[in-house]
Amino acid sequence: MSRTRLATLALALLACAGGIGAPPARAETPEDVFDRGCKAYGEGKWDEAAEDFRAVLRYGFADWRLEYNLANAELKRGKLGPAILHYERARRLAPADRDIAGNLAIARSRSRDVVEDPSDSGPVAAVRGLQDRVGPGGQAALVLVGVWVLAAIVTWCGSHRGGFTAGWTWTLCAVVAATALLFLSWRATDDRLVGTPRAVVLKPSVDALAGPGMNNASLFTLHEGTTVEIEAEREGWLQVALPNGLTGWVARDDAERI
Amino acid sequence: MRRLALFGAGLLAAWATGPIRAADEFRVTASVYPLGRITDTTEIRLVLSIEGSSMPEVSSLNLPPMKNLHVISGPANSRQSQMSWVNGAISSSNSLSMTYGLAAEGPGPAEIPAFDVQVGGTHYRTSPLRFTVEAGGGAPPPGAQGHGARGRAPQPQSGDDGIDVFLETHAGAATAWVGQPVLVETTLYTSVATPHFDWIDDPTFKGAWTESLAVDSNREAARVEKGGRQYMAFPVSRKVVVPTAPGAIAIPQATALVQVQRPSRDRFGMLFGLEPLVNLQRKTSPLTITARPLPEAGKPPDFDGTVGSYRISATADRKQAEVGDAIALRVTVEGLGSLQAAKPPRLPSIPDAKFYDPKIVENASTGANHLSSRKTWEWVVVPLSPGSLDLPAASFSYFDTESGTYREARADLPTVAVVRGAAVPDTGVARGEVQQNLRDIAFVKPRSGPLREPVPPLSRRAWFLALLVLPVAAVPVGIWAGRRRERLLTDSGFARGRRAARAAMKRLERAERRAADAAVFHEEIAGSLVDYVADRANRSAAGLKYDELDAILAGGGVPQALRSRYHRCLETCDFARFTPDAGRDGARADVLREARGILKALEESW
Repeated sequence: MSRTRLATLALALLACAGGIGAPPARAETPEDVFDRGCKAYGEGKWDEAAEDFRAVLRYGFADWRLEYNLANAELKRGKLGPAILHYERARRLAPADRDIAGNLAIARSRSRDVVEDPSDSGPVAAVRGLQDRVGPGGQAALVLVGVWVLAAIVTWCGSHRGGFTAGWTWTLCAVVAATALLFLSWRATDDRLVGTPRAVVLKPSVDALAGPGMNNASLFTLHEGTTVEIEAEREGWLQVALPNGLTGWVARDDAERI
Repeated sequence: MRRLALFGAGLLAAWATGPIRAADEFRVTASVYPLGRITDTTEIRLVLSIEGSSMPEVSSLNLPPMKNLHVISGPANSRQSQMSWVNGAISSSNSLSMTYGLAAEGPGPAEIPAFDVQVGGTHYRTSPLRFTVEAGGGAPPPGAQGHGARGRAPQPQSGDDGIDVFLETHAGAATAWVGQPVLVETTLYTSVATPHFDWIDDPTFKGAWTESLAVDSNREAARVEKGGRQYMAFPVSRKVVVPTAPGAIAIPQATALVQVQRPSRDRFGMLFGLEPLVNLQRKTSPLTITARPLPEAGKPPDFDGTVGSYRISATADRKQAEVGDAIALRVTVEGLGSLQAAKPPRLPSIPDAKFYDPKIVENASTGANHLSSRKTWEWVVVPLSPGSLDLPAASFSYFDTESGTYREARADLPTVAVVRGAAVPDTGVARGEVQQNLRDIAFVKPRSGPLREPVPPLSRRAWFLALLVLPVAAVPVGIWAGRRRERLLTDSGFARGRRAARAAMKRLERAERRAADAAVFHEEIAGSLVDYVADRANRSAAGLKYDELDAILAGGGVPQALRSRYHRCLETCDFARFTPDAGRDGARADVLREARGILKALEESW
């Protein structure tokens, strides 16, 4: 037996021994990939982190931490549009989280377009902040509690002769008003955060046209990261609107729905 | 006795008639004292005397503008009343003296014009007063003496006071640069005791700003010899004069009021301090300081106008520090001159360190002819990152009065080694709101559990909708249940009726358990039937007869056949109760079955 054959045999035996001694390989779970993405982010490897978080998203999870982390990685990579898109998605899932709101504000401050919402100041902004902190789910739960409190009061007063005293009547009115207010707030919050279809511009520069077709005139230009409301969809085109009243049509590929 | 009565009557008559008679009899005179020689250092007194039989009341008095005179004090009022008995007649006189202190503005003629005095509603007019003011304690023209300028009355004046007291003003330099402080000191020389000294006027300087320094006359007093005579020298004023513009700066005369004890030949009086007190006026001599302009050549761009002779030193309180530590950086400038308006030395900013506004400590002291100043600026420097912190050299530009050129004083600072600390310490030196250096996004969120699958929102879950709708049905049920419960609690007839069937059935069960005893068995059966009807009708069961029971059942709409069955069952039970052998086991079972059937039928038909 030549030396070469002997060496080959020895290597094969070593490989077998190694294979027997090693633990069986375990399939990588989405959680493992998520953790790996977090580690890569901590090491400043933004591209690897973003790739890992995107891979986990493909499993179909709807976890706000996943959207938030992916948005962070995209922002670090300089991808403003995807970053704002995923921050918005994270905010839908966890509207009360302050880090999401803070990072989203930082990301928006880097956007070229300054889109001022007239209602984003003063008492309206304060109410919206409170609504976001409680969230649509929290407000729905409060409405449910209000309805049951209302039912209990009506039952109590109705089952006793003279149950509807002045005190109970005022209490009933207050609970009705509070529950109605909560209901309206819940519906408004739900509509604002979830109900209104919105999209984020992903291309560096997108012309908003007067109609759904390239042969239409350009009305204004949107830039990466700008969030728009979707008013209509038609054959690969989105009719978008800005808070200042401007409306136009952009190609569906230029913006992604939140 | 008669004389005494006459005296009293006369006194009363004098009191009664006196005011009426003397109501418009006043004599108003104005006089100037002293009556002899008046100099411009003499305290002049204007005495307005109003005499009358009653006490005068002056309602208005305004002194007119006077020639070569001005009021320095007063009026001081003095009242006197006198009553006399002459040849059996009583007369009274009253006088009011108003004394003004006047000061002469200089040698020459002086005049107090005639002026009106309103006494008791009547106007009186004084006579004009004219006299000549002679030169008294004024100083001769200023003359340079030694290092600075000096002006005084070299000889004690004679005449009205003749007391050897004079003021001497001395300037630290006759010539100074613009911005160079000059010390101007005034000393009172006296050969007699001076219990009181006060400035009458404090003239302002033009072309210079001044600052008065504290003077302790008694502590700084010294015995000196001048012109072969012994004096006590009291420093009474010390000022720093800083020329602000080139040219001659006039230091005008200032007038002081000096109270002295006039020397007396009366040894007894001298022994017991009984010499009279005399108020004298003394004036300083005018001085002139010449201010030279600063040269434009070689003026540093950061020159802030500080003139003098200075040196600079700089220290840091440590050579090693942690990130976030507060390092105290002290730069001290000291020397001859005024640093009051001096700006902080230049300290170039460096990256990775935060400089806070400096704290300033300043003090000044005076020498024989100069002003010494010392000013310290203390910065708090906080290193922001680890490494070697090279603190910049501090520099300070000034105009050197000795060489007549601009100079720059520099002081190097040590290098501080900065290490990363374990924790942010409490500096305890400089406090302030924490400022954000950089705004960046928050870090990624770690996973605290399994990742979440998509779930419908709360408002779209079935249980949520069910819970939201359930009260619509639950409320009527709850109201019905509540009302029924309330009726059961409050309406005993309703409650008995609702419980009648259950109670009757329980009694039948008890009868079944006690079937061995025929009497007890049949009594329980009959009792259950009677109690049932009594409960339903809310009547007492005791004493109910067959016809009454039948009437109740008929009133409840029970058919005749059922009423007959009820009647027969009761009769069977009553018969069996009193016939011990009646009713075997099989017959008792039939009775029990019949009773249950009757109760069930009654429940259905009533």
